[in-house]
Amino acid sequence: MKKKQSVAKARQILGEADASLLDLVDHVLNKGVFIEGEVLLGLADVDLVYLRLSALLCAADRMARA
Amino acid sequence: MTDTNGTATYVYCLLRAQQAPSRARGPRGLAGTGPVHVVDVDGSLRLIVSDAPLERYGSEPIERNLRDLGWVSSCAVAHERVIEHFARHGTVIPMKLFTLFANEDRAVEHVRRSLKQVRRLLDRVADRQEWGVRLRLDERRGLSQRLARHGTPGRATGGTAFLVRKQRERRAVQKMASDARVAGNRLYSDLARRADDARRQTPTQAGTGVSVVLDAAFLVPVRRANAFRAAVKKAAGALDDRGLDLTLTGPWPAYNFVGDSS
Repeated sequence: MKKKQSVAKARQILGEADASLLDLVDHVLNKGVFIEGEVLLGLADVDLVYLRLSALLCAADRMARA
Repeated sequence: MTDTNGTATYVYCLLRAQQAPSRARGPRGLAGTGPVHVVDVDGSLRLIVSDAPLERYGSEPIERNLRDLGWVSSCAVAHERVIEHFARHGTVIPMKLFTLFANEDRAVEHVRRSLKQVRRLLDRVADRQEWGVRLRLDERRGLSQRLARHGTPGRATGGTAFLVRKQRERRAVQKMASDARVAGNRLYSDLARRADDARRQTPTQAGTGVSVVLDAAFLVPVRRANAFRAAVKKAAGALDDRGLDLTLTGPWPAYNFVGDSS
């Protein structure tokens, strides 16, 4: 499946080094919406990234425990 | 929105700082963009920006590249680095990744139109940090920990015993999930009391035996950050033997607390 592939690819890129990188992407991409810039990203695409991130955040089993 | 020279203005954050930060030795920003620099907006209010070539940061190339999580991640890291650098100079309002304007004047105009709201937000997040807390239930681990506590049910063999055992396991998982929700709610309100503001996302099911019970952000005064971390650590220890993993991230710029106009 396409989604599976992209998740696997993302994990590969991100490595096992740092699950907090996913948190970072989640933060900067999905939050902090204060000023709408003039480049409006296609909502569908952003949603796509977000779905993938949610899946990754759930799946990340090497997260450092608090 | 194309500028004559094919560049747009990429905005990292708004900064309120009495003194203009020095230009030297800052992070370099997103790949392929010009030097990160400071644009005065009004009094102590400044925008942190860089020129971004439209061939890489126009809406079309960005939308195409959004499919590439590796690319998005490297942009996110660069974006965050700039914001964290300037957060050391004063109070920042972080922008969302890929906030772009046609040029600097347009970006400045945009902020000037909402100065009152900007100042109110800055006051709300000044001298505070955002901390992220996520509580996840690992069903398999929780189940084996539970069995270790309550003993393995039924040593009897045979088909009926197997079914009985399966049914007990199912009930145990249900009980664990509802206990976890209660623990998540309690944790959220405990931590919210130690913060100035708190947000939580709707819990999600991963569908793979792991579910996120609590995904929350807390706006914590810098002077109370150590106490907040200690409270999270203590809670993590108490939850660990129930299959619950507690993750703390931060300190973040207040991404979760600048998104609305309240």
